[in-house]
Amino acid sequence: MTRRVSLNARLAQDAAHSAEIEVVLILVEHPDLTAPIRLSTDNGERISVEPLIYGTRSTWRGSNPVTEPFLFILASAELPSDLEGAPAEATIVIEAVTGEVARLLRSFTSRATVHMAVVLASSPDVIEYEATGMRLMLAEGSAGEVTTSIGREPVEEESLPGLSFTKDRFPGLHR
Amino acid sequence: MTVATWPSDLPRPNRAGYQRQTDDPRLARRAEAGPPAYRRRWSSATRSVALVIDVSRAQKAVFDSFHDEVTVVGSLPFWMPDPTTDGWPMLDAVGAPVLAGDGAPLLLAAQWLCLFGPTTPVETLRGLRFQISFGVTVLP
Repeated sequence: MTRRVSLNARLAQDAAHSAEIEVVLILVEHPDLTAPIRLSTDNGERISVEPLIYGTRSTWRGSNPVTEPFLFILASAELPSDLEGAPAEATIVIEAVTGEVARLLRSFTSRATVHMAVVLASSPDVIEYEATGMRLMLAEGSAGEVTTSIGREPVEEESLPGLSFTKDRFPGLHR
Repeated sequence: MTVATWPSDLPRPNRAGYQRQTDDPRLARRAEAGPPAYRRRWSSATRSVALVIDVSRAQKAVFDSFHDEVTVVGSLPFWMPDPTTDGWPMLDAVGAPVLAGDGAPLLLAAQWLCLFGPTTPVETLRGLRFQISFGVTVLP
């Protein structure tokens, strides 16, 4: 599958030495959230001192770079896979620095929508790769880290109601 | 919860014992042979600085209470004047100090936002004075 990336990103990937950093931006939306959660894997800029927050500013998906920065998290992100015969699945491993993370991940029942994008730190508004509309499927954790799996809705597991052969539905059987 | 500030009672760090190093923000590519290659892992890098201060008994108490209670044994960040910039005269292109209107030299000001380093402060005695050597990690 070919994919279009910007020339700068391609040059950076082909160069022997490059100073570009690829950053994964994550946007989590959920009906219970008043505002979407914006996360980034790069500490490009100190956003505030109290609390100490780093982040990346980008206009991806209509974010306002001034008021809605993507906040830096201690996480490693795995982009959606490209396997045969399996739905694409992305993984985000979050460093569980507090127990609050686990409590939050257990606190909702409907699935959150997750969008991911890859940008270069030097050009955070140019999207090199984007995977949108994925669902948060699974979050399991240990004491040290929480692994969240993000994929599509498991449409194969949708149960189809079987029809019962009643008089109303199949009058021909009951003649 | 405000960020703590380095106590102004403490003296400037000694020249001997000062050491500053940027923590490596790169990721080395593993190659069996040949020149090394790196890619960047983070946009901003922390810096590790080793400092030594020479203090009296009263100042040692100030440092101890700052380290143990204000930063809770070095777990909270604090502001600290950068000893290599803060208070140094500002120089012009030929190296002469830039003077303010009343003839006083303009001084530079710089603050570090930092944490105590990975090793806790070490205290030694020299005569009647104490030498405290500690490391700070300057946050980007």
